[in-house]
Amino acid sequence: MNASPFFSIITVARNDAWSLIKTARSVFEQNSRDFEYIIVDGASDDHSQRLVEFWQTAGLVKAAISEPDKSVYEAMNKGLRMARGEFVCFLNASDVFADQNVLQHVQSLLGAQDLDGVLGWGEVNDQIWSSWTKHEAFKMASLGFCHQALFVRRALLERAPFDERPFKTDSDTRQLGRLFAQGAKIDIVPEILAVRGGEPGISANLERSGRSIRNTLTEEYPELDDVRADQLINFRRRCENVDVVLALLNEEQPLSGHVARMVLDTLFLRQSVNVDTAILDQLLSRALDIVLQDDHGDQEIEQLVFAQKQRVQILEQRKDARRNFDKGISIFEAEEERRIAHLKPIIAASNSRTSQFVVSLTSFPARLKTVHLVINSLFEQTCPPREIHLWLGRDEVPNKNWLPKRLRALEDRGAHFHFAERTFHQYDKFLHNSELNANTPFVIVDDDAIYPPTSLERLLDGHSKYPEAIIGNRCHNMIGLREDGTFHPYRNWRREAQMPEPSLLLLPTGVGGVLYPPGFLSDSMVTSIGDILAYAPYADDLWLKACALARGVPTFATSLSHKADWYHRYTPSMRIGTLMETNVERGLNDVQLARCLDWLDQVKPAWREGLSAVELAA
Amino acid sequence: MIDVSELSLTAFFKSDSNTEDFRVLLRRCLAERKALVADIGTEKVKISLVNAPPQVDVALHGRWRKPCSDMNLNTTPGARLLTPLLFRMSRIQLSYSGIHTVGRSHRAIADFFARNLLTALVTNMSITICRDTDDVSQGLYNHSFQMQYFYILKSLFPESIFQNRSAGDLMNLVLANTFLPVIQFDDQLLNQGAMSLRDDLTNTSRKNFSVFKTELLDVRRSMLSHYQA
Repeated sequence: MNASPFFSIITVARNDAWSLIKTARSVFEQNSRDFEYIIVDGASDDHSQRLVEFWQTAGLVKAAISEPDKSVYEAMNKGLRMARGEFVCFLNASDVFADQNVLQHVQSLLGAQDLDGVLGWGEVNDQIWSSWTKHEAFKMASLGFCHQALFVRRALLERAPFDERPFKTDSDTRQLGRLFAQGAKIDIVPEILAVRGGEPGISANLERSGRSIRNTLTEEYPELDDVRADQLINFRRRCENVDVVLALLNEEQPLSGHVARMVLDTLFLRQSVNVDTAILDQLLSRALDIVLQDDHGDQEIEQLVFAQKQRVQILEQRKDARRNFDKGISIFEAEEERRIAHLKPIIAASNSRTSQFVVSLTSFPARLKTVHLVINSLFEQTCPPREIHLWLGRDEVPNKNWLPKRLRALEDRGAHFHFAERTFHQYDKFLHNSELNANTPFVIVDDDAIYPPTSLERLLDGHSKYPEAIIGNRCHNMIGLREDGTFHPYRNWRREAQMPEPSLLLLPTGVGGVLYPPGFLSDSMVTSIGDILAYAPYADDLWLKACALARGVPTFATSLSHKADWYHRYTPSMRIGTLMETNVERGLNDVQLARCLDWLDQVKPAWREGLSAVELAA
Repeated sequence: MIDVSELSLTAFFKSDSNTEDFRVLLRRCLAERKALVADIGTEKVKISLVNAPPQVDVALHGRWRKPCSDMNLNTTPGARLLTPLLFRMSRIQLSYSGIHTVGRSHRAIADFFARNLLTALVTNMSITICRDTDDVSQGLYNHSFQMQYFYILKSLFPESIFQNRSAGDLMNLVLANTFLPVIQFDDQLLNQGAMSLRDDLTNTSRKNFSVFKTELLDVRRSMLSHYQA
């Protein structure tokens, strides 16, 4: 990394470690490396610092601080003071860049045109912030923009830091308005550059944000008192107080010009759907007239038309994609129904028996439409489980009403749905219910594979034969230790391997289904969230393997651990949200493996000796 | 004697689609100094021979992608090269004088038309663009031919921005760039082209109050229909 990088990406967070996981990954995945990453933590007590420790060791985070803040904006100013990059972007916990090329793309625009910044579009919960005006009016009633998609010259921000009074929720829009007022050359890029996390931000508290915006309006516009300011806010939020807004459009500039732009922007938002046609005509005509009187006003209106057309196009493309996806799922479901109908007599003839073990998995919104197919395949087994537990995070899926009907219908067959307060991502499948493993074998599976009918039977057979071992239907052979005492890189391991006996060298992968013997997952070592965040935040398989090495528990690979025998097929949503690219192609598995070895050296310094004696000699 | 050959849209874009029927038409086009026409429908493509119009090497018919309206090609070479990415073609007519490469047998017929179009653009040959007048929805135009053209352009200009995006994304970006400077090409030819396309559009798009109002109301209706659905 350069001494003075092109970008400083700053994340501020407080008690949001599991969202920070997602954000840091999105930064790590960027194709451009000409940036520094800074994390400002507000003295979290949820082990966030351990995650920062992971990223610092991996070389991603250049600087980090953890201490109490009075407000988000104080934390953002703190990050700004730590920054050394030419341009700054604030990507807070749970926000992500839209794709891996964002920094590269923005850098090419900024580098070539002598700009002070670039403002892209943002997205939250399928809503698109399509910024269109380069005007001081941004500060008017918090004209929305996505600060995660804003890249501004650091020197400009340092001269106009965020208003960090504790009650403020709109300091970013106010700051952007001021930058435009000072003549900053910030171009708008009509592309989605960032996706804001679904969790409500500080502005979601309507009372608090109303107070903050009212304060901005009365401080910035001497014509506005508290009552008028509230009426403007009501128009922005609910299209109320139209008479007041029309009266303000007759005021002097700059107030009328700013209100005009706020009106035009609001007329493209959901809350304006029911605005009466005659009122719409009045508002639109007056606002348009005002903007067209300004120099380059026609270009601004062109930009508004263009931005909205682009927004419509994006929404239509998404609708088509959803339709195609649903069509694909219907075809897949029909194929699954035929497969299961064919299997039923075979399963019946195999003396199918329910056993006393549990299966646990986790999922997330993008895969909810297909997870019932996975669970169904786990019931259609020659040895079905006593119960199947699906864990979801309330921050992603609030309650059972959000589940598809076909998924809910599986409750009758023994599926249990649980909603954790916050998602722990792939760790949800055992972190919340590990006590079930105290006396009972516990199987974890993934939410994107259809399992063959003998999957669970193979695991149980393995368990009967080797009750102390971990049993996996898909295992990799880690080959052995190198001279320096570390494992070979992940890419060199033998995939889908088997060995005649249980071995410490076999790493079971969750996607094939893994059975843990009683007592393994209920050990507090395995469920230590701080250690998970510090050593393997993205790879539960590696973490569980490290725990197995620490305790000397070997793994046995069933006969399904051979080529593609371990799964029937993937569901249509398999590619959504997969960690494979980050972990495998970008080498994060090796980083996490190295971290896990550091942890092993601390908790069981002699772990290699056992491995050498038992495994390497064999 | 064959004057018309019809094939499926898939065959038009498929390698090895350069069949004997097509080669006969091509030979006749050159020998008889005619023009070769591809009418690109939503399912089929019709290849035919017509009399070559005087002083026009290549004629393109179709629709500008919104928000572009009529633009001419009396502009910089870079802008000429980028223009086909903004224009959805329903018909391309290559006069015998506009045919510089006869293609290779393993290549698609679409490739033959796209390469000759590109050659005509870079050699400053005479090209006319005719906007379709019938009220065909924009959605019915096939953009595969634009993609074919894009891939050839990409092979000539190893721009980093070409490498990291899908053809569809890139064409959207070129379109956006006619309005706002959102692309920076490494190659100056393309860079100047993007700039002059933008200038052309800005200069021809001065509108009055009522036009703007109609446009705003129209696009608002489309936008809000997503909330009402």
